[in-house]
Amino acid sequence: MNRHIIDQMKDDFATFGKLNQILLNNWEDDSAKVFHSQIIDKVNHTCQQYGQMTEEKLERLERIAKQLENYAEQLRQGAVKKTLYIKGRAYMPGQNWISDFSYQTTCDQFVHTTDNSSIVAIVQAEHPDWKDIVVTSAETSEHNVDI
Amino acid sequence: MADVKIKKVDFIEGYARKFSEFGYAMQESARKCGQMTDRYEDRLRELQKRIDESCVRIEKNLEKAQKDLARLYESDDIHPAGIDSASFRVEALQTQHNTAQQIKGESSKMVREAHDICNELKESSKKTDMELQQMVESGVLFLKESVSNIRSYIQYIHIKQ
Repeated sequence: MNRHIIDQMKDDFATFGKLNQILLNNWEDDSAKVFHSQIIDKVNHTCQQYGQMTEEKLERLERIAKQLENYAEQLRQGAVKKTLYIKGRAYMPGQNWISDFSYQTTCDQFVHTTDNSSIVAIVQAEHPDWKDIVVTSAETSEHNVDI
Repeated sequence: MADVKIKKVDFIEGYARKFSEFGYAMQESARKCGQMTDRYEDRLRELQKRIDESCVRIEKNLEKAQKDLARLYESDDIHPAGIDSASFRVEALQTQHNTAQQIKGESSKMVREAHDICNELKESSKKTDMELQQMVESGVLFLKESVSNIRSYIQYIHIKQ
């Protein structure tokens, strides 16, 4: 899109340059020279300056946008969570014996299901009143969860 | 002699049309560039929003991990490996949080720079559009006057003959 407008301006400007040369060759009197110095030179200067400035600025804007997209993606990947499915047993207050539990929660990417104590820690942190927690299985979803 | 002058008039009139077309095409391009900055600003706003949202999530992850760890310390029957594991999580999330804050600061600077560029482009596009309009008008007027002078000269030659 950016390139399209810049290329269009460059094409138009090149055509204009050729046209002016033909004008100079065909008009052949002092008015042609005056027209050139009073109008064409100014138009050329304005278009050249604007075209160059616009190209540089749009390129910089595009680079910034690309860099921000990279940053946004990098942070998104760091911020995503997975669903964590946990099964196990624990003593729950108000019950006379150890009960089975099965529930799901979300976890950050630094939680590993193979690390049993880490999963116990999560259950314990989420249910501080449970005692003697034993985790029998823990799995994470294959897909990240955007929250 | 008159034939040469008539040919010249035709040529200048043809040129004047193309000159106007070129001027309008450049004005149109300048306007499009100005409008393009609006789309960039929308894109930048969206990216900034995504970055901010991720930073908030990363902060919440860290807070939750810190809370989990604090609760583990309060608990009396946790296995030491659980503490180690939760401490590792907090450390990893703290590093991630620091990186996120650096990225947030850097991206804010870039967004400010981009907004300045957009404003500059808008201003410059508007100015160029107006300047070209004036130049085209002056140019066309000049060409009309030149054509009129040549026509008068042709008439003069005819009368003289």
